[in-house]
Formats: sequence, C-alpha cells, structure tokens
Amino acid sequence: MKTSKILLAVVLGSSGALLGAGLTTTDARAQSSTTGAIQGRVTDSSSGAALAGVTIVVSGNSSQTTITEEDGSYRITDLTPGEYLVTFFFGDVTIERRGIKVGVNKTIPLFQKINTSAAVSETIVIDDKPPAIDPTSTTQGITIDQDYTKNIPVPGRTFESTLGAAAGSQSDGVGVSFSGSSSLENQYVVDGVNTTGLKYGTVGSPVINDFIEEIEVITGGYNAEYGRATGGVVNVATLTGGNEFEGKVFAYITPGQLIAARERSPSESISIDATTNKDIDANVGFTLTGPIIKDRVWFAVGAAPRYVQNTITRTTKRRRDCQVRLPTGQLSACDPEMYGDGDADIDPATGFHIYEDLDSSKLRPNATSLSTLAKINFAVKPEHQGQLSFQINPGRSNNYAVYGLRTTGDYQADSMGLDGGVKWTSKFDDSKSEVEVVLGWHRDQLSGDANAAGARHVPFEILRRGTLGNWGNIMDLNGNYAESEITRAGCLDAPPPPPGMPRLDPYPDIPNCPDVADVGYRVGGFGSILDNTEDRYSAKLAVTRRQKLFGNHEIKAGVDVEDNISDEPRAYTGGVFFENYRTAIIANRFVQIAPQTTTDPKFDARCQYGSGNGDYVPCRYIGETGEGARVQGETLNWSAYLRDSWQIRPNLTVNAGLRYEEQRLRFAEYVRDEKDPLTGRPFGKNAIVMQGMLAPRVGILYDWTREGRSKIYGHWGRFYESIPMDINSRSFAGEATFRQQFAATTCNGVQAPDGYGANTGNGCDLQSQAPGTIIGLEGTAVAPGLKPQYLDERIAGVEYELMEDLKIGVAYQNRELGRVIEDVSVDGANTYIIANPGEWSEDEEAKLEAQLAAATDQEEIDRLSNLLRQFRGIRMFDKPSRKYDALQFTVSRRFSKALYMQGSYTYSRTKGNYPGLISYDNGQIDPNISSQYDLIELLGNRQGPLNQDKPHYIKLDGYYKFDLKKAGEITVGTRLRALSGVPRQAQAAHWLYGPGESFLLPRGQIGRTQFETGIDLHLGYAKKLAGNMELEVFTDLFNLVNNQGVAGVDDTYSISSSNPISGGSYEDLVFAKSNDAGSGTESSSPITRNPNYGNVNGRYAPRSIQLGARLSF
Amino acid sequence: MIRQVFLFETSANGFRNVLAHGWHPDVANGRQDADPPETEDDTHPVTTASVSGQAMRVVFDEILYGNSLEEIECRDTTFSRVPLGTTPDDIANCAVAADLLPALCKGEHAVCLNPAGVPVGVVDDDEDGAADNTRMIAGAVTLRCGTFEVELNREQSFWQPAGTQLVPAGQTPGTSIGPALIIAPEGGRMPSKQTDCRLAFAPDVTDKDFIQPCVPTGGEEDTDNYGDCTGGDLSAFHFGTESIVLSGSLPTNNSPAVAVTRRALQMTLSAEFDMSSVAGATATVMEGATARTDFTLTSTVPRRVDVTMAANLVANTMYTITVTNLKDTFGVVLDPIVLQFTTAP
Repeated sequence: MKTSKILLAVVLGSSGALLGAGLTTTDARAQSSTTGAIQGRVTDSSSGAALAGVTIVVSGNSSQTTITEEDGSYRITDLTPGEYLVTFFFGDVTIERRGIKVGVNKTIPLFQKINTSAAVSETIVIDDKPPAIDPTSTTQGITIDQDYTKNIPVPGRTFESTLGAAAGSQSDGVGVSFSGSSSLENQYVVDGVNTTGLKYGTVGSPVINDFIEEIEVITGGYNAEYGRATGGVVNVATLTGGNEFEGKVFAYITPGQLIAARERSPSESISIDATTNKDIDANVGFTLTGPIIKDRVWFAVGAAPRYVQNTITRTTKRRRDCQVRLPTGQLSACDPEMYGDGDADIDPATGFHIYEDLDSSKLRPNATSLSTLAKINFAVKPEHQGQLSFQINPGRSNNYAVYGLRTTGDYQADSMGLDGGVKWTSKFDDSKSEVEVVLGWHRDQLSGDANAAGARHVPFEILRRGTLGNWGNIMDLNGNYAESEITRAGCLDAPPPPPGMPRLDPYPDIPNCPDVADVGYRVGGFGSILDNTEDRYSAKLAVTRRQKLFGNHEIKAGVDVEDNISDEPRAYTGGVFFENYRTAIIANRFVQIAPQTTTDPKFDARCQYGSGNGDYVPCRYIGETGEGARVQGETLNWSAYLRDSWQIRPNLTVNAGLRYEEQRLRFAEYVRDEKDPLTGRPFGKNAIVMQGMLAPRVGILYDWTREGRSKIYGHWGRFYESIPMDINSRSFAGEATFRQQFAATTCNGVQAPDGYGANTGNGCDLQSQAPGTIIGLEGTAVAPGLKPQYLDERIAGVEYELMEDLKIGVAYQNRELGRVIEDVSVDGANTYIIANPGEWSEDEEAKLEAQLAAATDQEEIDRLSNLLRQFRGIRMFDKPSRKYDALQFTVSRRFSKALYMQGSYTYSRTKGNYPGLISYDNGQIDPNISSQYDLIELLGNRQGPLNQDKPHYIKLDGYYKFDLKKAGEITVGTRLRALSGVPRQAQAAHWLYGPGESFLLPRGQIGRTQFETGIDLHLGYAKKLAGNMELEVFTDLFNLVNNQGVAGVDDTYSISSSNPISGGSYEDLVFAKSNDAGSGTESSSPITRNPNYGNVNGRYAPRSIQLGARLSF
Repeated sequence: MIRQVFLFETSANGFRNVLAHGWHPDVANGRQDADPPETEDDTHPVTTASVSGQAMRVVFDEILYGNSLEEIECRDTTFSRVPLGTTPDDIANCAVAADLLPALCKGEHAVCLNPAGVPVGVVDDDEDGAADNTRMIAGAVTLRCGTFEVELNREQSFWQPAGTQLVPAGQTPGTSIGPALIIAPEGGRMPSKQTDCRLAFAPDVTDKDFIQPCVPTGGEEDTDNYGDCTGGDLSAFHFGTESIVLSGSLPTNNSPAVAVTRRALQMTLSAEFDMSSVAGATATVMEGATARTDFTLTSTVPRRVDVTMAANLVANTMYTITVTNLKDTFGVVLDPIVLQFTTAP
C-alpha cells in the first residue's frame, strides 16, 4: 500500500557502537519465561550407580527442596534468576555447591558424584561450577545478566541496546533483527507478558537495564512454547526481591563536551543545513529490593528519570558565482564582477557546488522521560507463588522545524507506556506437576500537538519547485517571516543593477538558494494528527508434568489468548495535505468510498477520477474530526501448544512440540455495516481469520561427555508471523486517498512565478468536481483462501566445554520464508488485495467459477468476473523469498578468575526479493501492506542480497577485574564489532508510487559499503564501603577511536520516474529514460541523476564518553 | 534477439498500438485494448503499419550497448558518442562548469571533446550531472521499405534499457515492456502500400556479448517455444504498410440527400500525403453519366483534398468524384480516391 510511510532513521543506533554485543550461551528448553531450573543426576563416585533419595536444597532468592529419583535424577524449577547454593544430603555426607548461577529460561546441568563409602560428617564444599552448556535445549542465542550490562560498554539505556550481543543479530535501523529476519518479526516478553508493540511489532516496553535481572535473547531453535515470531524472542526478567535488602542508586551522564564532532560527508547541499549535536543525556535512578515478610512477600521498586537535549544548528546558505579555474589550474579569487560566469561555483575536489553561509540559528529539541518499576512476589507456600509487576514510563519531547516554518514543525509529543502483569505458579505432586497463569496488560499512548495556536486546524503544505529566497517571505501563523532578514536578503535573486548602482544580489546570474534536492519547504499545519493508544490484554495458562516413561519426560501444555486494540486518528490538520508544485497543486484527502448504488446520505460528495467523464464514486471526505477520523482496530490471537522434552537417556534428549495459532483481524467498527466497493457486500466483523497455523518443532541433542559438557544437536521448526496492527488501520478501516490536481491559477487567481513562495493550496476549490486519482478506489480485498506467513528453520550444531568455564560452538542455521502476506494490485493501485503473492487457492478459484456460472444477474456476473480476474492476477506476482544461511562460531568464557569473554564470528548470506516486514529500500514500515508487491512493475530487479546481508560479522565482548584488595577493584571492559557493509542499490522513482520504488539495477549490483569496525571501552573503579555498600565510578567510551564508519549511503540514483533495467549495469544508467511523473508515459528524456547518489548519508555515531556512578548495597 | 515489435495500425477500431511480432501474455491476441476482447486463438501479427503517426517499439530479450545507439548533446551544439565503459560518473565529470572541464573531463571515458580533443562540456542545464539530451546515432538503425529508406527522427527515436517482460505489464503495456528501441520515422511518416519493410542495424549495435540483434522465425507465442536466431539475421521480421485511403469527407461518402448547394467537396485521407502532388493529380467528377469539368482540385489542409464546383449541383443525381495520381510523401502513387453521393430531390 502506498501512502503513510514511516521512514527509517538512516543512522543506526544511538551511540558509536556497531550494534549489539555477545554473551554467554547456555540455552534451554523452556522454563517459565521469567525463571530457570537446575537439573542433574547424583551418582556414587566409585561405582557410578545412581543414588536415589538424596535430599537437595536450593537456597538463594528463595529456597526449594527436592529428592532424587530412582535413577538419581532431579529437577528444581521456578528459580528466579540469580546465584544459588545447592546442598546435597546423603546419609552423613553433605556437599555444598556454591555460586550456581541460574538464568532466565535456562536449565543448569548440575551433576554430582558422592563418595558413599566415606563416612564424612563434615560438609564438603565444592566451588567448581556446573557446565556452561545446556544439553537439553536447541535454542540459539545468549543470556545477558547484570554483570554484563555493568561491565561491558552497552551503547544504550534499555535492554534493546544489549540484544546485538547475540551471534546472528544486527541493527536494522528500526530495532535489532535476528537470523536474517527483520526486527519487526521479534517478540518481546517482559516478566512473562508480551509487550511487543502492537502497531508495527517494535519494542513496546523499553525497560532500562538497571531494572533488569536478566535478558534472554533467543535467535532461533525455540520450542512450541514460543510463537507469533519469525525473528527472535527476547525474554526480560526484571528485578525480583529476596530475603535481603538490596539496592542501588545510579547516575549516568553524557555531556555534549565529551562527544566528538560528527564527521560530515561532502554532498550536494540544499540551502538549509542542519547539524544535530547532543548537549546532554543524563539519567539518575534507584532500585530497591527486599522482603516485606521474610520468606513470604518480597518487593522490587525502581525509578529513573532521564533528560536529553540536542542542539540543531540550522544554517541557511547560498551558492556563489565568483570564482573560476584559471588557465594555470589555480582557482581565482572570489570576485563576482570579474568571474561571475553564470555557472554556480563548484568545488573541484568534490564536484559539488560551493555554498557560503548566510545566517544561523540554534534549535534545542529535548525529551524527558521517567522509567518506573514496581513488583511484588509472594509465596503462599513454597510451591504456590505469585507475582504482581508494573512498569510505567511517561515521556515528553519538544521538537522543532528545520525545513519550513517554525509554526509548522514545532510541536510537543507526550507518551505513556504501561505494562502490568499478574503471575501465579503452583506445584503439585512433589513438584512433578506445575501450573502457571500469567495475566498481562500492555498499553502504549502517544499524542502530539503543535505549539502554535491554530496549527492543528491548518492544512499542511509542502512547497516544491521554489527557492529559499521566496519561501523566506512567507508569514508564519504568528505573523513572522519564515526566514531572517539576512537569509531573505542573501537569497534574493535580483537582476544586475544599472551601471553605477550597487548590486542587491552579488550573484545575479545564478539562483542563489535553489532546492536542488527536492526537499521542499513545509508550511501550514503539521500534517498528520497524532493521538494513538494501543492496548493488549493477555492471559496465559501452562501446565507442566514430569513423568517417567522410557526415560524422563517433561511435558508442557499451554494456551494463551490476546486481545489487541488500537485507536488512532486518520486525519490531516485542516483535513487536507497539499503538495505544491508551483504550476500545479495536489490536494490529498482521506475519503470513504461507497458503491455506486449506495443511498446512504452521508456519502454526500462525488469523487471523480480518470477523465472525469462520468467516472466517479460516491464518497465522503474525512476531516479532522467526525466519523472515520479515528480508527479503532482489533486483533484477537489465541494459541495452544503441547511439547515434550524427552530425556531418553541422561545424555540423549528429544524435544518435540506442536503449536497451534489463530489470529482474527477485525474491521474498524464504523465500516462494518458499510459495503465493500469491490465485492458489494458488507464488510462484517472479521477482515482476516487466520486458522490452521500448525507449527511443529523437533530437536534432538546428544551429550557425548555424559556430564553436560557437550552437545551435538539438530532442530527443525516452523514459525508463523503475527500480523501487526498497522494493517487494521490502513486496510480494514476503509482508507482511500483522493488526490485532486489543481492548476495554481485556479487556486488563487495567479500562477506563482519561478521561485514562488506566496501561493498556496488554501485557495483551491476543494469541493469542486475536479477529477483526481483515487488510491484504493476499489478498496482493499482479502483474497479468499489467504494463508498465513511463515518460515521454516533448520539448525545443526555442536557445543563443547573445552575447559572449565570456556566453551566453544559452531552452528549452521538456515531460515527460509515459506509464504508471505502482502497486498498486491493488478489494476494499477485501484484495488489492493491482501494476498499471498504468487499463489491463490485453486479451490477458491473453483468456488468463484461455480458462483459465476450460476449467476444470472448481469451486475453480479460483472462483479464476479472482476473478482476472478483480480484474484487470478495474484499468481502473476513473483513469489516472495528470503533465505538466510549462517555459519556461526562462538566462544564464551564464563566469568572466572577475573575474566569474562564472549565472542562470535558469523558468516551469513541473506538473499531474496523480500526483506520482511520492513521495506529497507524505501524506508516504509507498513508490515504486510508495504509497497513492495503493490504493482508488478515494482518487482523488477528485486532479487539479490537483501539489506540484512552482511556476510561477515565479528563480535567480541569481555571484561577483566583487577583486584586491588583493600584499595578496591578496577574493571576494564570492551566491546568490539567488525562487520561487512550493506548492499548498495540504484533506485529511481515510480511515476505513481514516488521515490525509491523502482530498482533501476539488480539488487546489490553496485556492490556494498565498506567493512566497518568499532570498539567501545568501559573503565570502572569500585570500592567497598561500610557493610555491603559498594561505590563504583565508571566511564564508557563509545567508539573509542572515533571511527565514524559508513552506516548507509544514498541509494537514490534518480528522482525521475523510470522502470527497472533488468540485468543492467551501472553504465546502462547513462541511457535510461524517464517516465512522466503524472501519467507514467515513457519519454525520450534521460533520467536525472541525484548528485548525492552513493554519498554517505549515515555514519556511526562519533566517539562519546559516558560518566557514571553506582552506589549499591 | 528481438522479442516483440509494437507498431501503430489504423483499423476499424481506430488508430492503435499493436503487436506486430512476437507475443506477450498481457497483450491479448497480439493486440492491446481489443474491444470486444478477442480470443487467444485469434492471435495474429499485424502485417501492415500505419503510414502516419508511426513509432515502432522493438523489444529485445537482452540489453544492448546504448553506446552504439545514442549520442549525447554537447554545449557546442554537437553530439558526442559515449565510449564503451563510460559510467554516469564520467558523464558528470564532463558536465561541470567550463573552467573545471580540463581538470575533470579527461581520460578514455571523456565525452564531448572537440576535434582537438578539448572538452566542451555536456549540456546539463539542470546541473544534475546527467546529459539533458540524447539522440539516436545516424545509421545505427535503418528502416527500409522496398526501395525507400525511411528517414528517422533521431531526437524522438531512442534506446530504453529499462523495462521488463513482467505481467501484468503496468498501465501502459506498450511502454513498460523492454528493453526497447523506439524508432520514430520523421514526422511519423512511412511510405504507403509497401509490402517489405525491414529493419537493419549498424554492425556495432550489439548486446553485451557483442552479438548483433536477430529475429527468431515467426514470432513465437510463448517463451517455452521461443525460437533462436543467428546474430545479425533480421530476415524473419518484415511488415507492410497501409494504403492511404479516404477516411472522411464532406459530404459523407454515399450520402443519399446532399444539398445541391454543396459545391465545396472535401475528401480527408487516412494519412498525410504530398500536398504538392495535387498539381499532377487528376480528378473526374461524374454527374450521373456526365462528366463535369467546372471544378478545381486543390489541397490546402494536410490530409485533405478539395474539389470545388463552380456551380451548384443538380438535384437527385448521383455524383462520383475520383482523384487519381495523388502521391504520398515518399512519392508513392496512391490508389484512386473515390467519393460518391446523391443529391436531394
């Protein structure tokens, strides 16, 4: 679907970091998403015989006890993340295993040998650690704990900034993507509650790292407990209180003085230049955990406000015409009268025009936010425990206009994130059975309004084809000139004066301040009204049973339900958005369309299209308020699963699971009784009902050491996408856009001269019957027989604990999209069909053919014939493909002997013609309804290395602690990244769809950006104070060597409309011809060239230094 | 290999762009916009082309070197060929201000050099670094009909490397299918009544494997059976041209009750003809069985021949006006133009 794009930030990440970091790895079969487990086997050290009846006590945050089975095995679950003491009691023998660290959703293998012949009445203390390998799980990924976020320089404040640590992860400009998928295909779970953003699938609840106990990052190989994700799953467990009071007070600050200057790449400029520099990023906060009633009720609370301020230096500039290259090869002095030759001066070193500054101003956008955490855990009995948790995160930002009137772009946005969860866990039958219930609520609110009075009711307008000299004379809503007097005078284009008179314009033969990049100038109101709320209400029930039957089974069954609701406006300020091309003005309005036969009086307008000779549909304009100006969407999800982790032998495990999912996407309330323009039938309640999503998962693991120190494993699984709710607003709320084009002379009586600034769309007679284009004229249909989007995954790997605390691994991972949901159009964007491109059910075709054969009414015959033609057309489209193949080598050294280390090298290729739910190529974020498959001609040259394709990715994280004894402790941590560049493209506009939609050359034909490296450093000094109190001061140096590497280049070769050159090469672009932007008609004119094509337009952030202090107790 | 050829024909359905060679699933029955739709069994290539308003679209299955088809406009009003291997960056280097040309526009891929080898600059008024204008290289493509070499409009003829064979082929199938060579005869004119029009390419017009264009026999109907051909062999594609005929008149041809005062008789032909050939043309006006001689034969409006009677017509009489020896713009003698009507009683 074409309009309402959200553009990606070009620069990745917010710090100098080259994305993610890497970490430990034990992974595991599922426990609860917020707890872990310890399991193992107790044997006689001399005979090797299993020891039954050994009492095992686990104590830490909470205590649990169990007794070994006949085969010596045991398993203790529901352990909140943290360190535990495990004590084995057998006769007179008591053995203590200290420092057993349990992670979220991890099973720690703890095998214990007891010398039963020794009559020892004393306690044997063993300090060695259990193996770092979970021999029961095939999941890929890492676990990030507090030690990691404290000691590794993590370039961000929330958990999202740590996700890049996992092998196979990378930043994609919107979030962190895993294993070749886009970041919108992930699922984010906080304290057991799904907090994934509803509209797009982004991080919905950005919990700060200081509130987090542990983060589990699963990049693949997960079992049937997990679903609704074709990317990764991120499990976050927030702090949990224990029987001891603990807490910390912390502060971080990044002053602007400690941020290096941003490197700027030479580029063909426009007359407004904006440079953003950070002034300050500061946050402070505290956490406190402890008992309310010891062994019964515990709490955890935290609060952390943050303030960020940037300075945008806005500089206005003009070209000059005062220098020439002399025959000597030297540049002349700047003398307009002598060397003004009518050609604007060009810098021979760069080939770009030379600009001189006119005026400068500073804008200071800022943002404040508050993160809070409140959590209570309670144990009615040790086997019956509950949890209540809340995170509330309000925020406010003030933003300013750069390319236009201050009153247009100065606005304030308010946000509110809220997550609440209730969890209950009960164990029965000696903990062999377990029930877990989780209820959750996720809310996200975002609203914004202009600072200028009245801006909400004024149409937004982009002026194009002009110069800053004229735009600067526009008055804003407060009656002030758009630009300063200096700018207006400097940009003034005036003819040469009569002899003897002074020059008003030093460069009379050139346009001083042109807009060569077609950026335009924004005036009027602020455009789209922002006032969004989304809510998810969820409930989960899981039952686990451990059973002996030809080995040990852990059988888990579960069901979960989600009701997702979104409410957002669909309105322009002033009800219309103008694109002003000087001679022509295009008015864009949202409209609701009805079939020709409608008698509903609310469709009181005629939207004429085509030539206007009788081609019209009844319609109603959707204004700022009223029916249709708000869209309520709803999606219901439910799923059920059954999985068995069968330990056939202690060192041989088979995991098998089956998951079933359903998804119901509903039409907006206000259109349910309306008739679909295409089918002529009422929309009804459900737009899409996705059923039959059966996702089998199978894994097998073998531990050849029989001690949990190795595993060789394989996994196969199918994963279904959960369709984000953007589609509800855009496709299931009757959205259509009516574009009317007016001659400027009909809007205000005069056609603006070149370099205009005065005329505006406000004079256009919007109620006229002027024919226009209706995008979505026939509405949006869902292809009958639509099937869900899924991917299949295959994994094979080996892990081995080379020595204590050090393990290595290698894994091959393959992921391939099996089917995709996208909207297509076979009639030139009149009708959008949500379909599986490239396939349409033959059964549904036969049904429709039978209906057609039985129809007698000519109108019905025409309607069915049209439907049949449209649906058959779906098969004409290329089948979307995305194939990810990766070979990952990992090494990790658990913290031991003062050293922690984690590293990975991933060789991967991601190829195909469909990058996923993000259209990286044009910046569009409209999951499942992007423009990628809208028109057949957009598909040319799409096959090739996708944006995610970065073949080589090296990650290395580590820290070392220098023990200075009484003087304290020094920590040195580092984070190293090295990665391949991104594939480059050559794109042009499509006449109807606009910039960046046409792949002039095959994807990746131009090569890729350069290989980049980055290193971050953490230095900390900690000193014990009284009692358990410790004070640590630290600094994080991000992008230590200030290598502001290339994160992106400008892939727009031309702003002209042109079709793809199939199999073409760069040389062929010399001869490519353009299409008329209004009609698509081919011309003999060569396409224009973007002077900035291939120039760097995104760099990794410059070196910055964060200072911090943490007082923990 | 040439995959499709589109050209314009004049038919009962009007002037339209049709498929003259090859096949495309989105162009039903060899025709676009067939109304009512024809069945696929009716597929046939168009063998006669309109002799006015003509522009052919020759679609290839591979990209040709544009370097041997087009040249770019230079600031000294000449046009320059583009050396093989020249990239858009090379063109941009030769599109800078004059004072910078010596420093930037040099090397084997420099364009727009005067006979002395000095760069004069590419015409680039919009300063985007790309050439503003191109034109077809003289002799790169020739279109010959019998003994006539059809003059091409080199500005309107062009090479379009973009385009695909995807279906549906966009809103304007004729212009989204490519890569294509658009061949525009000067004024859109072709000699009429020809039976053997053929294309020819200069020897250096080749694809990226340096193979000259060729045409597979027949114009197969689907890609599975697509034929092959030998580079340079274009013999399998040829076409004829339409005759220029009466397409309208005042009074209307075969009118039954024309006023006797209608002395100005206008005959509009289906295409432009050589207006000066009227001087050598002959007209006869038969009033019933009697020949009238009190008229003049002129042509002052393109495509129109006027016979102006000196006196009124006779009532209730059949008139037959025959004009012979008119010629088209290539000198081909047209078939006699005949207008017949009957005056009112």
